[in-house]
Parts: sequence; structure tokens; C-alpha cells
Amino acid sequence: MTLTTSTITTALPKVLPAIAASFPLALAMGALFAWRNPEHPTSVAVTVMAACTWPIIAMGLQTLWFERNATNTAIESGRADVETAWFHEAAATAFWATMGGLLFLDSFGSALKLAWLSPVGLAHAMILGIGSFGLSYLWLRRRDR
Amino acid sequence: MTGVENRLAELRALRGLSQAALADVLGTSRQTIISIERGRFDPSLPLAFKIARHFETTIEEVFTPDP
Repeated sequence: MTLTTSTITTALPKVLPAIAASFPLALAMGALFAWRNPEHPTSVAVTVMAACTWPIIAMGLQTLWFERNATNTAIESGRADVETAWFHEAAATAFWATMGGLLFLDSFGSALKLAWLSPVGLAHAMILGIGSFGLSYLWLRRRDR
Repeated sequence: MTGVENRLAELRALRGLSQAALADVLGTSRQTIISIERGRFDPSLPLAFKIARHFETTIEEVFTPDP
């Protein structure tokens, strides 16, 4: 989909609640970071940490809270689209792919003594989780077209 | 395939409805209609009732289990 001004103006109101709710949470993250890292100037620590975490928190809120509510409302009202089914199927696939993938990466990495693979960390989980979800969703969409 | 056959494409054609028009009437997406017609997706029970009501028939007339 091409990102146009009309796309932005249509999509923006839907994400505004998540953006607004993420501000205080990002500031709280910044304050927590500043409290645990007193070696950095407080104002800089709060600002940088809040700025870095704000988009992630906003996306998380949108996906895990606001979108989830929309999905649940859609299902309850009987509007269970095939897209919702794809979403759930892709999420289930991504869960098992991430679990298996992390186990494999850690075993493989430790056997070959690859420090960038083992021990597995947040980056590995994020890449496996988002990657497997995205690929699974795209495959389901392509299969049904 | 889902194990349930349906006559949605046939009923839709009899009424001269496009997939998009039917999706609008039922409050669902066009892709959902496409997937149901191809037997790739079983609709929820409320959607199945909506489909049956729209075509003034029963669910059993629209959806039948594979023999």
C-alpha cells in the first residue's frame, strides 16, 4: 500500500489513543532508567530513554491492547473475518517457531561456540517472533488468494 | 479445504451480487467471501446465520459437510 496523506489522516485517529497513553509510560521508563543509572544526568537519561521507548510502547499498546480490543469486539459481534483467522493462525505458528528456533539457535550456538548466537537474547527472540509471524501471515494470505 | 462444502458462490450468482457487494451487506471483508467460496475458511456461526438469512434460506441449504 502506498503511504499517502489520506492514508495517514485515516490511520492517525485510530492510533492516537495508543500514542497518548504511551507518553506517561515512556516517561516512567525514563525516570526508572535515570533512577537506576545515577551516573547519567537525570534530564538527559529521562529524555533519551523516554524517546527511545515511546514508539515501542505505543506499538505494544496498539497491538496488545487497542487492536486486541477491536479484534475481540469484531469476534463478539460475529464479524469474524478471514483476516482475523489468519492473524490467530500466524500468531500460533510464530509462538512455536520462536520457541523451537530459540532452542535450536542456543544449542547450535553453544555447540559451535558462537557468542553471537548463544546465549540467545531479546534480539533473537524479536527477530524470530516478528519474522515468523510476518512470514506466516503473508503465506496464509497468499494461499487464500 | 475445511471439510464443509457451500453453495455461496452459486447463491450469490443467482442474485447477481458481486463478492464486494455481498461482503458489504454481511459486514465482512471481500477476502472473507472469497475464502468461504473456495472452501478455505469456515465462517463463524453468527456469520453463517447472516448468510442464510440474507439468501432467505437455512444454514443447511448453504453449508453441507463433505461426504
